Amino acid sequence: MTLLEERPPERYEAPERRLTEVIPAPKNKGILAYLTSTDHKQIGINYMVTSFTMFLIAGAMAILMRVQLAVPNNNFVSLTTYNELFTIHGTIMLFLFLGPFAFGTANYLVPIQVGAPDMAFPRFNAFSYWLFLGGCITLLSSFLTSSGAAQWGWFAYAPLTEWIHSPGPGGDLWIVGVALAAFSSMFTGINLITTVFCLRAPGMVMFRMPIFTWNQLVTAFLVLLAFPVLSADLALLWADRHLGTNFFNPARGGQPILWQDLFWFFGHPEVYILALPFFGMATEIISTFSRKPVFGYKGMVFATLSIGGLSMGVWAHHMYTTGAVLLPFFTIMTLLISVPTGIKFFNWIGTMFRGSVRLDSPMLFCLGFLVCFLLGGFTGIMLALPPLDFQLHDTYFVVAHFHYVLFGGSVFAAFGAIHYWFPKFTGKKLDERLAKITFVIMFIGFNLCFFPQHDLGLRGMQRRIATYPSSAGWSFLNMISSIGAFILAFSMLPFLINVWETLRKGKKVGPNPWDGMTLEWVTESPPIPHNFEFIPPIRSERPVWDLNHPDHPTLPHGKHAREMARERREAAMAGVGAGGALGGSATGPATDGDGHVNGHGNGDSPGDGNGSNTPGDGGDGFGGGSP
Amino acid sequence: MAETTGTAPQPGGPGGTGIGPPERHHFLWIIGIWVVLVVPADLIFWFVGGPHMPPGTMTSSAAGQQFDFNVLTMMAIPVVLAVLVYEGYALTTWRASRGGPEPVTNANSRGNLAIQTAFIGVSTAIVLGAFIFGTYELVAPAGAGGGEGPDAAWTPGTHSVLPIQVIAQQWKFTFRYPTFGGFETADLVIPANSWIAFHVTSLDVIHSFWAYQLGVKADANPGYDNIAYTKTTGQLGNFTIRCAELCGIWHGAMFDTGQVMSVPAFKAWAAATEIKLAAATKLLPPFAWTYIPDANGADGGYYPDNEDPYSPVEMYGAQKVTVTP
Ligand code: HEM
Ligand SMILES: [Cu+2]
Ligand SMILES: [Cu+2]
Repeated sequence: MTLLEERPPERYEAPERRLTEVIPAPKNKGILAYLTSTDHKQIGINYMVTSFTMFLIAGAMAILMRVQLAVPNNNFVSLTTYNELFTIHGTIMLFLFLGPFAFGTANYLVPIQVGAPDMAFPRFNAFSYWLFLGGCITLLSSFLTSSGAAQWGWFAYAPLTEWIHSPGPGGDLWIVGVALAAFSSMFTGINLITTVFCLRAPGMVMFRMPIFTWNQLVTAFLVLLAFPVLSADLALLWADRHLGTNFFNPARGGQPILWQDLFWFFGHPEVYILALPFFGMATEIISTFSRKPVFGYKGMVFATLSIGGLSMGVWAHHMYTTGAVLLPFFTIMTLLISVPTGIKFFNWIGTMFRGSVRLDSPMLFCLGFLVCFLLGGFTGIMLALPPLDFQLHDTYFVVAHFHYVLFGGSVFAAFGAIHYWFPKFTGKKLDERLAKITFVIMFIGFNLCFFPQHDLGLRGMQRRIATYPSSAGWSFLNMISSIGAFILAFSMLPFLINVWETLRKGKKVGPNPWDGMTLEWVTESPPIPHNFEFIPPIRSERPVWDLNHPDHPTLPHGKHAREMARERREAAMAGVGAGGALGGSATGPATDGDGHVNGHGNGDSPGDGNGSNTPGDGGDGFGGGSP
Repeated sequence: MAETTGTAPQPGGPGGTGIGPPERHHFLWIIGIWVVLVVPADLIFWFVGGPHMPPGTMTSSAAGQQFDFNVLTMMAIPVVLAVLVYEGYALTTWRASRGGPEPVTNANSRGNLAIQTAFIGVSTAIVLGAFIFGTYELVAPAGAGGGEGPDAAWTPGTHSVLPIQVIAQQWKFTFRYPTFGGFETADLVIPANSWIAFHVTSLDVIHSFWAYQLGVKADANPGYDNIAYTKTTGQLGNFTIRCAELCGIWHGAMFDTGQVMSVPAFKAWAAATEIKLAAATKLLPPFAWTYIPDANGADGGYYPDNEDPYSPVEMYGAQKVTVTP
């Protein structure tokens, strides 16, 4: 039991807030909702579903590539097709899957996590989505042109992109498709920043925002810094191709290396844009499933900020071999980024320290994330050293590195997030057994596919080659890698079945099936149109936990906390206040009658233990029964 | 945690009390398991795997890259093992389903300034160490085999250096030997025990000259003279040349073999080739460090720049050489 006096004195008691003035618009259903909605939740779902579809499409392209590479001297696809495949695969994965998927989760969750009824500019938000969809269609349509899709790789080095080397509309459609995605991202960035700065609920000071929201905020700033540069590059390239300019044309005094500088000035922040949101998801999940607050919350925030800052100053580590780079400067900058990244890593595992770890599927995906991201991060440090980069640049070692970061890191975290927030999005929980099967197949397939590629790179296989001679000595590892890719692709099957079956006949779960800690878990699943009937007092970065576990409130940290802890211990020994601590039978002023408090210490097993805190009376109970 | 939350003891936790051992016991266990795994793993890697790691020891830069790779892998093994051991320990010790402890909200659960500061300190030190190591390994062996642009900052100093021009185009490499009359050949032959300067340039799109066993990689940009140094050791034999930058559909076919010969054999080969190709050399454009791409783009020929003051050659500041055999 928590006495009010034990709470930290400087905490602000938020008054109960009821959003009675909101008059919800008529709620459309189905296709009409999809077409017309400006609700951030609907738009978030649109983003996630569309981008996931793009993930499946680009994944299918990857499988075609892996079939082609499985054996030497293969003719499964033509050279041209192979170049189209990796170009569009990479472009989709980066611009039309990972980024937009992160924005989808941001759309859905950030307003709720800060206690807002919607994004700051709902129509602008819808506009961003439609731009993004336009980008998807534009890019894919390039396969239908006479010249085929773009064949210059996702970073489109000039002068290969000049009209004389790559004629035809396929490349133009690539430029337009990427530009549409870029504008969509910038608009979403503006929206997110405004939402976070202006629409936070009372009590939600910046340092009580969930780490997920913090990371999305920093990401949005990176988007605003990076994407305008990309848009400008694309405009220059377009002008070179169609308006007779010569920015990148060496025959007329243009500078091809200028493209590389401009592109990577965008491109490196971009890779953090594709990582930070997923770090945020992993942070939330690890904290929830360790039943502990995030270890080193402020450290986490400052780490995110400094990653954001430093990521603007490392772009030329992609250009070590051009001879146009001040190598030591970019080496130290790149290595320095690994310090805040290391802090994050340390805090993730610190969050698990002496926690009460539950191995539900979201946590499993996050453990996979930790392992893979660590490997990808370390190979990144290797590539940061110029002598090693001279050896490994543009080989399969790099392909392995970035798939470990992007797939092993971000995509694993994304799957964790899908499993974690699915009950919030739909009201139904994915089947745990199928989810775990998905994870196991995916983890095995992923490592089998990409680990051998490190070795392929070391053995001299350059990236972006459509085939190789059998004398090169790469055949065995490529076969292993392809088998891994097929296993990896196969893991989509249990996942899709799971989603389908759950949507069709999954059982309803209450607002908080995982004992989540942040504001989205206090409202219904899925949330009502204006998100909240009631917002609990926000005294820490995990208000819902504080509400549901009044006997384990989030303590401030440092000296004050130790004093408080001593007082509480003494009180406990004196038999005062020990009553609520065992859990299960908890009673306390804040939880009377709504049943949201329960114990998790008593043999809670991953599969079933969560039902007990998901009473059917759900969100409504909060309105009346809280302090 | 018990001391802060008032949780009653539960069965099944580490130590059987549910309160669990104090934190330092966890640390000792984790560190103990880690040390037992790391030491043999690192030793095995260094002595068994290390000497065979690519790209071998055909040149100073290749040997340097092999050494650097091994050092970094030696560093990676402990880090990766630390996390794996920790996760394994966490999952077996602090599992809720195994009667792991109640939610911990003690004073340290939101952060521990001492530990966090120590971590930042240690990781910053490691990173700075890696930076010093990497920079030393870059500077000491004259750029470590990477392209350094037209004004190389790290050179072999006073040693005599054999310049060889690498001309990349869609989709082949050719090589010009300016000190042997500027003849151009499709065979890359270099002498053993010598310093070589590769001057890499392109006639059309960007390529990258990668001599795998030599540990040399330098981008070939049109209108740009990208210099990479390396020193061959006594090891003779063939090496593989590949293009390491996407350059169009036959990118994967820019696949070639070069050869390291003894110095006398090389001299004989170069003199003979110079004579053999003399007629063809006369038809070639005069030797220059860079050429402007053919006005029609990628159709093969190349033109040295002589007059145009606004051409890329002037802009990149490359100078002409007078060729003396
Ligand atoms: C189904 C799993 C996947 C497989 C089997 C796969 C396979 C491949 C292959 C074979 C390549 C071509 C390498 C080359 O020829 O150089 C490639 C390139 C690439 N992949 Fe993936 N990939 C997968 C998932 C992903 C994901 C999830 C992402 C990012 C979110 C991603 C990002 C990229 C990028 C950026 C490239 C580089 C494209 C380029 O060279 O321009 N891939 N992938
Ligand atoms: Cu980068
Ligand atoms: Cu090439």
